[in-house]
Amino acid sequence: MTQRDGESIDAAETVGRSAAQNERIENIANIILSLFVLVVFVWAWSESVAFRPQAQTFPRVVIGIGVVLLTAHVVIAAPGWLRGFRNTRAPSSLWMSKRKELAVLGTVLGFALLVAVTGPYFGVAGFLLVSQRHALRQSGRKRLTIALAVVIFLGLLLVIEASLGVEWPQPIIDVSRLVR
Amino acid sequence: MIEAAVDALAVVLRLDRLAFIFLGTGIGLMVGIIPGLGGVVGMSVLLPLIFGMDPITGIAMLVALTAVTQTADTFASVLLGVPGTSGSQATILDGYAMSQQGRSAEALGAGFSASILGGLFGAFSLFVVLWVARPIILAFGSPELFMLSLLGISMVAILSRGATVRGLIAASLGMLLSSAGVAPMVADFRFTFGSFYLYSGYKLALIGLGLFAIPELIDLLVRNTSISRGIALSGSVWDGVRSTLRNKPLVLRSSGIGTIVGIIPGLGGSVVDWIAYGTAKQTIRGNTFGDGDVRGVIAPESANNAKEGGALVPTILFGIPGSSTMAVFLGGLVLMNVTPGPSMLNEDLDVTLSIVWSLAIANAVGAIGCLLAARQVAKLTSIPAKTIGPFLIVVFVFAAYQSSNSWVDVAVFLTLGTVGWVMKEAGWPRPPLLVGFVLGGAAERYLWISAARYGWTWLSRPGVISIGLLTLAILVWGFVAQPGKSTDKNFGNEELSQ
Repeated sequence: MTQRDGESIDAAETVGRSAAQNERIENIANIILSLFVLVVFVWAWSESVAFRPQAQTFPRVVIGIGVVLLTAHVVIAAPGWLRGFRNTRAPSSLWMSKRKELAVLGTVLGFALLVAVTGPYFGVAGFLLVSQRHALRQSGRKRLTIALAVVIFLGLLLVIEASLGVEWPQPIIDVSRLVR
Repeated sequence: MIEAAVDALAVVLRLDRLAFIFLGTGIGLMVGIIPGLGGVVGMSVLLPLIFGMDPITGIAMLVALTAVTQTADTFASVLLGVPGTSGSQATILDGYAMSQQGRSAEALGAGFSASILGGLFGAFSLFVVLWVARPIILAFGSPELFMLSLLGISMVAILSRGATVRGLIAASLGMLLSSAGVAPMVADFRFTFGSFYLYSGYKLALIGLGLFAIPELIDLLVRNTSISRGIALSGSVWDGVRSTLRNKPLVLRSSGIGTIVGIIPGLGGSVVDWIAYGTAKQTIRGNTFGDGDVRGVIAPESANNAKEGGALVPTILFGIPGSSTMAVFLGGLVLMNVTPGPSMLNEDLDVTLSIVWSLAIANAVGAIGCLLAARQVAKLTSIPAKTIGPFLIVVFVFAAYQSSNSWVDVAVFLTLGTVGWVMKEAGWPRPPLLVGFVLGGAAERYLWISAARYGWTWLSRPGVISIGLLTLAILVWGFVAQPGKSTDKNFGNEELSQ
């Protein structure tokens, strides 16, 4: 077994997946991605019909090359996918093993929504304090460290905003205005 | 000439001018460290400040800023796995892999020392090349630039070694993304979904951030370890410096590539690191690029700093900006009543030589500052994921928002992040998508200009044929020489070492 094989199996086990699950996930991701790319290419081709001739040549050449390559990829990889599905039974926890990844995506989306609603500083402070609640429950020293980190981080945002003229997202409902 | 150069050094070393160079360096480091910001933002901040200054001081400050932005961006690439600016995209491949092995200090040391050498090489090249560059620049017409774009895209074959077909599909997808917005030759809007936001196309910073930041963030939080995966930090900044010094030929070669790509207007800095990385990967035997090979940090870092010296050549000689940062720099020159052109080598020679010295000084000061801070900053990689993760989410979302200050930026960031995550799970290399996006627009633009200007005769130009043969050779090499399975569990371009 190569070192990298070992690493990826270790990584899979770290997040509660076996190597077989990992292979199955890779195959499913490959099929989803191939389908997604195909849909994008087909959609782009249909859209390009409305373009003027000079504007449609380049995208169509790119789509043509892409479709040929995608076909080659599917033809080469499909036997392996089928073999993989035949050899490994679908573990019941397959999709459950993805819940952590989806939770992270949801958290990023949640943070963006929080800032959209409450404004940058309330949003950031609230999000950071809630996300660090595990540390805030611990010793006084840790509480102080986290609180300081949040304050310094907010201070940095303010300094960057003031010195570089960088704009932060404007809230949909400005809580800070409501408080004032 | 030497006498004029010494005089210019004395002019630059005046205390007040040095203070402004340090100020420019400080702002440059700041915008370089924060992912999503770049030289253009920093330049835009400085432009109002330089109004009314004497030209040498004002220009020195602008040059200092642009010189070190490419140095400080190494922090984000190595420690977070996201490109700090468009010039440090390739650094993440090995830099972040080294961080995951607890070798972040070594990676930063190598990156910064390579940046110093590359930057000094760029400054020296600027000094030498200014007097001979005119025919070189004029020899590159749109047909050669089109072929150079294709050459850059063919680097995908090297970047996705072992997954060439998937890499090329990703590159096609990138090129398709680059065609969104207004078409180069006719006023036709493509793939905009009827949205005003997409009229100017997708933003490069957003694509780089989405493709790399979200998958790495997910990886980090799901593992719930630190970036260094609980491995004790090993290696010192000085180990990295020593690695750079041991690889002097690589530094020289990559700096040469950086300078040449910088000199050629139109390609911009977004591709120089990929070309340097691809060339190093192809030419160094027995490398472990993609798995934390320090040479994978040295090559792009020396190239992207050397590029700044090269990019100043067409800007100063012809008033043609080689990159978007140079376009703003050009505005700065005009603001100070300095007219770019051949007069820069006669009447304004003192200004030109002060640019060379400012570039050299800022590179040295900026990189030494980063080197001194590297050891402490590298400790960020040992902070547990659950503590640092939320801070990263904040930084990434705000960085995405800076692309065009629109909430759609955040939506595009999340969408691309999801695509990047699926690509990583499926073992599809992600760097080719970025390369395709960067070069797709340039390829289409130069193809149309070539066809309109030369018809089909451009195909018979010697430069076109030479670059075409090189491109073909790289593609064939990608398909034939390195078959095997590739995984993108780290960054998509490494192969299983059999």
